[in-house]
Amino acid sequence: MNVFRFELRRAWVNAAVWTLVLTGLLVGLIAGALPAFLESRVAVENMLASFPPAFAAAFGLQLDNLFSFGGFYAFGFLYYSLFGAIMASAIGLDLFSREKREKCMDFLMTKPCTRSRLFLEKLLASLALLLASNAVFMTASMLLYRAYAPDPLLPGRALLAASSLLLTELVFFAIAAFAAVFAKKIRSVSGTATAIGFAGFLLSALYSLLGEEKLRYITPFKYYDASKAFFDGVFEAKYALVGAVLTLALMIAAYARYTRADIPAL
Amino acid sequence: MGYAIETEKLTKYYGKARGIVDVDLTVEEGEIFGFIGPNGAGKSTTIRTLLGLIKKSGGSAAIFGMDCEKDKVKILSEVGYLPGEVFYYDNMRAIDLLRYSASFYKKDCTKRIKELADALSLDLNKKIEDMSLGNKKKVGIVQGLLHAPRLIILDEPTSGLDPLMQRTFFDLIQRENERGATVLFSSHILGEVQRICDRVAIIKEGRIVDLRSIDDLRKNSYKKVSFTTEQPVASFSLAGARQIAQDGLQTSFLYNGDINALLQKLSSLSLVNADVSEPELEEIFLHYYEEEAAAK
Repeated sequence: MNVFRFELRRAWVNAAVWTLVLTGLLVGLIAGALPAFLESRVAVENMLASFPPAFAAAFGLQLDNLFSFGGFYAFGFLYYSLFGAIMASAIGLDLFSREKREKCMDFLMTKPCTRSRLFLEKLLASLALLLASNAVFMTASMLLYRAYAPDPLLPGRALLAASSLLLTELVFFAIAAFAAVFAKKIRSVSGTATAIGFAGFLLSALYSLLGEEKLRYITPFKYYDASKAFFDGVFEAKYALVGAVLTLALMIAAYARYTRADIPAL
Repeated sequence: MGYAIETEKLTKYYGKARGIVDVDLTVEEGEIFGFIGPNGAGKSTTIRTLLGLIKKSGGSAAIFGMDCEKDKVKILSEVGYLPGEVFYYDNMRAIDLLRYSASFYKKDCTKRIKELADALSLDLNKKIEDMSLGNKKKVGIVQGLLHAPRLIILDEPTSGLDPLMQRTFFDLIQRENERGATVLFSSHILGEVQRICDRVAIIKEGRIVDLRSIDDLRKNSYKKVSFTTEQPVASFSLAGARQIAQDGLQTSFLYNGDINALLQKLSSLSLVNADVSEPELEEIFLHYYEEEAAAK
């Protein structure tokens, strides 16, 4: 497991920073803003009424349940997803293009280790980072849920809603790993990851604006809808399925390419 | 004893572009084998196919009797490889890179890392990206040799090394060879091949055009002859002489034939000076290119 350890050592700091930012945002929104937001409901509703409805939709505001813990928590997911997508993309790009970026494919690929094993250890290291990050996010979510949500508590639903972040991140991780393996050259991990994350954000905004159902199939932020999970205790099967199939398909394609491709001379 | 490397009709096409065609090579265990040809001739393609970095299109390749694709992992644990251009991970000290490299082999390489670094006077605690090209290359050399490989594959290894370092490098390679390692060594500089190799294969446009021992190549085939006469020689000719060049009183050529015939011919002239020497490989190989040009 030397590759696994090596990758973890090189990637954990970035993942830790993103996790702090993400969890900080969550705590800030719920502990900092939620109580005041609930108190000033009338003022907020008046303010939102003065904007065009499309505006509120684009920013993830669903007025029917916004003034509740679940509604507010789910509203925040547009932004948690954005940060999570950037983090997951960065991990996928970083780990799977490391040798390509640093021009040392020859070094790694002439070690007595099958390419499948290299791929698998990199994949495990990525998953370890994503899981650790989400363990922090979920723990924070559950603590906040206990502290701020009114009775009766349904921790199963809250946990399912929180898991929407991990599942969304997996989609973006797969997109990024696919890109890293197929691209001839990756110039900047953070730049490309940010671009991928924002593309997800924009698709989501576009979907909310237009409300076109077909668009949702290509909107990764909406494959695993936190609001639906929180209020109904399920993800919508067809979209969740699209998300899962897409994630798997991209990873399988990345694996096939990684294990078979010719390594060009520099 | 088996062959260290054996290829048969090894072929690689990149799409439609020619890489190598029908390469037959046999490298015996314990020898230093040179692999020469101009840039783009297919040296790297051959080496990368042997190492499993690229997939062959046809033919077969084996190292120590094992198939280069099926038994890749087993083979690679016995092979040390030094690419022509050395790049490593950013923000890493030499020792960290070498430890990572060593972690792939099932043996303790700590002692050898230290020995090799000492021999090359390499500071292991320096970050690789802050190193000069020559020092990076040294890291590459240690990286390729730290597991005491049975086969050492060097792809254009001396680029970027100053003459003094080249000497240290060749000494090191020769010591590894005495330890029992087989060496495959590609280069487009013939002088360095001449310096340490036992046998040499010449590759051109993807095909092996010649394969013979260095001694055979040098001693048995060609002499470089030049002489100066008192009077200009009208038109010099001699069976076995090629690349005849006449410049005023001086005549020079490459000679492949009976040495007595050469001396008889020379003694019939009134000489001021004469020089018979072993040609550089460059001069010997020139004729492969000239023949090619003539055929066109």
